[in-house]
Amino acid sequence: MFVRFLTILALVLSLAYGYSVTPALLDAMASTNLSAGAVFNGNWKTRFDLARADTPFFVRAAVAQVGLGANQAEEALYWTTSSDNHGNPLLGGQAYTIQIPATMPEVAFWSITAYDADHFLIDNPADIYAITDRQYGGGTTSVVFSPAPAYDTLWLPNSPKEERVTLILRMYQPSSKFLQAPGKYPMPTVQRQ
Amino acid sequence: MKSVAKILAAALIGFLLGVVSRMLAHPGQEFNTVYARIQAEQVTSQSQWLHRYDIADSNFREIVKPNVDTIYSTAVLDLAQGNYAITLPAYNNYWSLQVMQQNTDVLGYIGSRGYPDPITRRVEIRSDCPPQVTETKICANGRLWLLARYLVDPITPVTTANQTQDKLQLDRID
Repeated sequence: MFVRFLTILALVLSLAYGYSVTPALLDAMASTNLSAGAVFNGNWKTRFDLARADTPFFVRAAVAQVGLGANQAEEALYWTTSSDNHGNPLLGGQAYTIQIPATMPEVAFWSITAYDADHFLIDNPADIYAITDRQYGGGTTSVVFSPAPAYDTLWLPNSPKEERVTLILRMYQPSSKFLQAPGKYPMPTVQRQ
Repeated sequence: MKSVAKILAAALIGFLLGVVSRMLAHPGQEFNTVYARIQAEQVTSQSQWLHRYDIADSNFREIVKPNVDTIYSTAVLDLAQGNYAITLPAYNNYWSLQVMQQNTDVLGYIGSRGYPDPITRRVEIRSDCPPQVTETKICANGRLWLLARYLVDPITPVTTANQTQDKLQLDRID
């Protein structure tokens, strides 16, 4: 009788606990970029199943937590990386080189935006938050991703704080050719200096 | 030992049930939070469309991971209260109207991807037809969240995008 009572109590209390900690779990899942079912290209990960009727429930929940309003893949792809070429975490306070390949995938336009550990834009005195295709004329280009300004080159401000940072490469209106083989195209690389 | 195993198993099952039930409920809860916030602003501003006239910056805290490519206009409506019509002004660059349902799934889009001609469009939003999104009609049920995006770049600077935003309309039609 007592065991039965404890069993029911354990069930109820742990159910309540599970319910209450799920938003934090979703944050953690989003930080790992939900690898199960993700599409990979180098260090970059994305998902093709956002905001759809057949989106897995845990993906829908995680997107509601950290990416509410995300587009479906045909409208925009969100490639995310939180690590450099060697798989080490991207950190504030460090300097990196983002190498843009000569031929980016066929999309209407793209941008690379940096976020702090709280998933907000990185505060910086220059008010620069992203690098876009509209900023350069094409060809292979190096972008310095660092807290300190870079001169004579494209610069994307990194956080000065010791924290995990994330880059999101947004591709708007990717071509159907790209959507069919997203792993085949060259993507930007992120190398620690 | 058996009793301890039973209790631990119950705790694990309870935990998983709690997590799964919250995950299933969470999108609707987040939608409701956004809906209530936007609805309150609609009442305060007496305007159906709420416009963010600037590109996001580091002070922007309304949503996580905002983009800095487009500016946003947003509105919510409840089809239980009647049908609506949107006026989507012409825009000579990338634009989209994303229609989201209460579970946060996207019902569909009207935008430059499917309709590249920069013309003004009138779109009816109705509940008396099967769910769909076309150039002239959005058919859905319940509450919807409309999110319009306009690309800002040298072709369409912020001022041009703002003028377009101000031409957005959302009206009850019955």
